[in-house]
Amino acid sequence: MRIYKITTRHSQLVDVSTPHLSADLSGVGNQQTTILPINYSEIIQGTWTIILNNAYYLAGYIGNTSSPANGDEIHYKVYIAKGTHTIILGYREYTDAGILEVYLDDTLLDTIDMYNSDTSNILTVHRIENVNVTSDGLKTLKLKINGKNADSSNYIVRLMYIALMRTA
Amino acid sequence: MKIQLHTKDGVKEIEISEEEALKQGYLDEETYLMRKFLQLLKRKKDLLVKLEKL
Repeated sequence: MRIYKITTRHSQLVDVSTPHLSADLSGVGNQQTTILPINYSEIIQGTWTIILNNAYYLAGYIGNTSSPANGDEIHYKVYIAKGTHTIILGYREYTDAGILEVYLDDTLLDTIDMYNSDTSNILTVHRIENVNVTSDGLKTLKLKINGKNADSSNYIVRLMYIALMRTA
Repeated sequence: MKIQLHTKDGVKEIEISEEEALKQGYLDEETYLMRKFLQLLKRKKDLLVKLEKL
């Protein structure tokens, strides 16, 4: 196609290749994204710190251990392409853990009870399958504590990583 | 050691001892002992260097 290239001094008719439309690029890219939990975009509630602990995968985690409370919430902004994705959370179950809600923008994807009386697992991998994203764009992955198991003594989350994998 | 507290109002850095960090749960006992061991090892190395100079 031919376009007019206009500068401050003159205009010129030039040949250019046909530019892609945004629709042509929709769904391209974004195969896998790994987020370290310290790379949050916003904290809504709670005090979150890095904890060093050799008994954990990656020798530590980010958690709300300083002053854990129901409603503690942390957000991650991430660009996601149109398609089907699996969201993976790596965390540690414990006797004082809360129940975590996982949202993509305002859609509740899953609820994870992180309580376990057996604390021998250094890492629990939780997969949220078939997350359907209908359009490319910047999304907000929201993690929010909503309650706790009746046997749990607190509302703590011990997060090691978040991964998004495109599956279709 | 320095601890970062991340809240909605921003990041606040506090400096506390290893003992206090252990007590407040910022370190586990094994990590605490490892850090202490490395500090003692460094101290021993520094003392040996001083002794060699005497």
